[in-house]
Parts: sequence; structure tokens; C-alpha cells
Amino acid sequence: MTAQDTGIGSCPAEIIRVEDLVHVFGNGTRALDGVSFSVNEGEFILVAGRNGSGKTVLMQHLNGLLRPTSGRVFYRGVPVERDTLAVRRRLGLVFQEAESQIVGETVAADIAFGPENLKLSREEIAVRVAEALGSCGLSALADARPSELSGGERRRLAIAGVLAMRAETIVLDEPFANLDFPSVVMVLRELVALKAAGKTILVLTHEIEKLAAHATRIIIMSEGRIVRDATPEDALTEGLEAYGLRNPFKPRLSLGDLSWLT
Amino acid sequence: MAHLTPFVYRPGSGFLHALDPRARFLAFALLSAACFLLGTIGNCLFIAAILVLGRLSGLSAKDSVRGILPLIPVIVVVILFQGVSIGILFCLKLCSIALLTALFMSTTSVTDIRNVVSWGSRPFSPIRALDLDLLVALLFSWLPIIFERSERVRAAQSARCIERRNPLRRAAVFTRVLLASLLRSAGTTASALESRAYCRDRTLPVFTWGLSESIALGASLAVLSAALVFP
Ligand SMILES: Nc1ncnc2c1ncn2[C@@H]1O[C@H](COP(=O)(O)OP(=O)(O)O)[C@@H](O)[C@H]1O
Ligand SMILES: [Mg+2]
Repeated sequence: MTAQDTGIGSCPAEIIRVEDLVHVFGNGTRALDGVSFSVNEGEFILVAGRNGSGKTVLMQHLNGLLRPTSGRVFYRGVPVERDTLAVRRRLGLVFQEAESQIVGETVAADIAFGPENLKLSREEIAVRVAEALGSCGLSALADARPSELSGGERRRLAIAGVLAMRAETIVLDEPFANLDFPSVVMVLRELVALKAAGKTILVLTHEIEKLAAHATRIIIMSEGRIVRDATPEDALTEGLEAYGLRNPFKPRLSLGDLSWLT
Repeated sequence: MAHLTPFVYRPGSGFLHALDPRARFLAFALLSAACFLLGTIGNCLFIAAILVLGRLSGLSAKDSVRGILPLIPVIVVVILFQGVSIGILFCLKLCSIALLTALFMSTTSVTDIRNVVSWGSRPFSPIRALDLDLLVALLFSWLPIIFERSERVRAAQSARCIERRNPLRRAAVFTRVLLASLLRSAGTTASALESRAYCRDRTLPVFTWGLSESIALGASLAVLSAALVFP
């Protein structure tokens, strides 16, 4: 047996494995309909799909917030439901609705919430909070009230909360929703820096064009299924419109081409 | 708007801010009691002391006095009905309490309150305590969300000319929409708490009871005793 066969040395370690995941809600909605994929360490995956395609429901399965109707989810080879707390310490979620995921009275107190759950010492927490504040450009706002922050700052606060836990995997749901151009750029920079730091990242969004250049892989979902799973070059080809997505390669040479209606 | 009132926490590094929150709570309780007992001269001295304390902990006297302004109508009514001498004493007591409360609130963060709640309820049930303190924190961090949401729902409904309808119906629609929106967000908050690995076995707040805490408590006790002896 060579190293290639055993997977040791040659392939990076598998972090997430989802097997034939089905989720049916109480009202009969089949939000996930047999989803299977796996994620390796260090990947930067863009999970795209129109509204209602099942992205957010899929995210909630990755750390055991939702339980599968059928199918299984593994984190580092261990079923997520076996030790959800351990998974949540290593995989951070950033929800779409930034304001309701804030639990602290000040920016710094909110960032400290995660490390407090890891039962770190106060000194260690202070170090991590300062670090997360710095890398998300929030140092000047440490004592600010989260309700006073702008949309972009709130989003960065949510990311900082995950960073302070030193999560190895970060999943972000629609991180660009409601952000203006400079805020999009800041969040994007942060994501690229995280990728460079070796984190495994999944971004769920319908805004392919903002991230396609940085992703290592694109998964496209439609009606609760994975319809494409390939490198960005191979995924962004003909027929994206059928899945409710706009092809970012569509030529834009004249003003008329800028119309989203063509 | 809320952050303009003198009763809202302002981050700072004055000595009151640095005081162990347990000492601040105890001193506040003792001094409030003293306020009620003190007479006219005592209250004047008390007010002066509070203003000086506020100054020392980096709060402007102007801000502190602003806390009294809403009380003016009450004071006028009391003086009209109770006569000048009782009225003035009442007015002084009210001002003392208002200033003391403003001083306490502006140097005590929700995190402080939360830490004291968690410390105070620890002897009764170590498991419950942490849930209780989280509840306190969430309640406070949710207030702005509730205000913002109500304003948004109200604006959206006015934009659709809903006020022309009957007011009862309007209130019902408003409540339903607001509650639906808040419940949805509460769901996200719960998920976010869980996602950040919330567990009961977490880092506990650290308290540091030192010389300044003992002095603060001793001084408050002295004021209360003085108020008891010379009312
Ligand atoms: N709590 C719920 N109850 C019932 N249906 C739901 C619930 N949450 C999501 N759904 C449905 O599941 C499907 C997938 O939703 P979601 O994962 O939120 O899509 P998106 O890709 O936009 O994130 C949608 O049809 C949505 O209506
Ligand atoms: Mg979604």
C-alpha cells in the first residue's frame, strides 16, 4: 500500500463529511433532499444557490443545530450528534442576521462570550479579544454598544466572535447581505486573510461574483440538492440560470450589458 | 437617544468604574437608605459629595444634573401641596436619590450586573446561576433590538397608510408583525448562543476585593450610621 492509497501524507485531512442528508420540516417542506459532500482541511468553498435552495438549513446541520431526518454528518470522522459541544468549539457559524447573534453589551464583551464558553482564563480571554478586535478592525470600538454599530461593523463583530474561539472551520451565511461596497471589501479581505492563515472556510451565498475569484471550489445547490460541485472554472459554465444564479462571466462591455435583466 | 440620559452606563477608567461591582452594589444600597434618613443639611452635603464623586470618576456635573430635570414637575406639585419646608426636604431627597442612581448606573455596566447576579445566586444553585446571568445580559442587549424593530414596523405600516384604519385593528396588526419578527430573531439568538458553544461550565467572572473596596464600603456604612444618629 502506498501513501496515495491510505490517504496519509498525500491528501489533506477530511474535516466535514455529509452523507445523503435529508431534512424534512414539520410542515412537509423538504429543505434538503439527499445532500452528500466532503470538505478537506484548508478548502475555501463557495456554496451557492437561489433563495430557498437549502443553504441555511445545510449550515445548521454542520454543528448539530438541526438533526437530520435521515443521513449523517461527520466532523473529523465523528458523528456530529455524538459530541456537538466539541464540534461547536472547532466550527464557528456566522449567521446572516448579524444583530440577533450578538449577546454582549459591548463589542469586547460580545467577543469574550465564546472564549468564556471554552473556560479559558481571564488573561487568555483578554489576549484573544484584543487579537480578534485587531484583525477585524474593531479595536477602536471595543467599548461601543453593538446596537450602535453599522451593518458592516456588526458583521465583522460576528466574525470576530468566531475568531476569538480560534475555530478551525468557519461557515458564513450570506456574509455580504445588506453591505455597501467598502464593507463588502473589508469582509472579503478578512475571509482571504483567514484562508491564508489555513482556516477551512465555507461561504453560503447567492452572490457568486463577490467570491468566485477566491474560492477553491464551488458547490451549487438547487431545491435541496447539490447540482454542481467543482472547481470555480468548471462550476461557472453554461446553465447557471436554471439554478437561479447569474453567471459572473457574462460579458459586461457596454452599459446595456450591465442590466441584470438580460 | 437612550445613551444621552445620565442613567446609562458610560465606559470609563475612573475609580468608581474600577471598583469591584459587588462593592458598588453594596455602597449604593447603603447610601440609598441613608438618603431617606438624612435631613435638609445632610442632603445638601450628600448632593455635594455625589457631585464631587461623579467628577472624580470622570462624569460631568452637567450630565448628572440633567438627571434631575425630569423631576422638576413632581417637585413643583409637592411644594404646592405640602408647603415649602416639607417640599424642600422632599425635593432634596429626590435629587439625592436621582444623582446617586445616575452615578451608580453610569458606572455599572450590564456585565457588572450580570457578574453580581451570577455571584449572588451562586450559593443557591451553581447551575441555575449562569443561566440567570445570561438572561439578564440578553434582556439588556435585546432592549435596543426591540425598540429598533418596533420603530421599523411602525414606519413600514405608516408608509402603507395603515393609520387610516381603526386603531384597535392597527394595534393588533402591529403587535402580530412585531412579535413574529422578534420571535424569528430570538430563534437566531438561541442558535447563535448554542453555536458559540454555550455551556454552563464556563469562565467565571473574577472579582478583586481590595483596599479601595473596603474603604468604599466603610465610608458608605459611616454615612448610613451618621444618618441614623443625626437625622
Ligand atoms: N423552520 C422552517 N420551517 C419550515 N420550512 C423551513 C424552515 N426553515 C427553512 N424552511 C424552508 O426550507 C427551504 C430551504 O431554506 P433555506 O435553507 O433557508 O434556504 P437558503 O438557501 O435561502 O438559505 C425553504 O423552502 C424554506 O422555506
Ligand atoms: Mg439562507
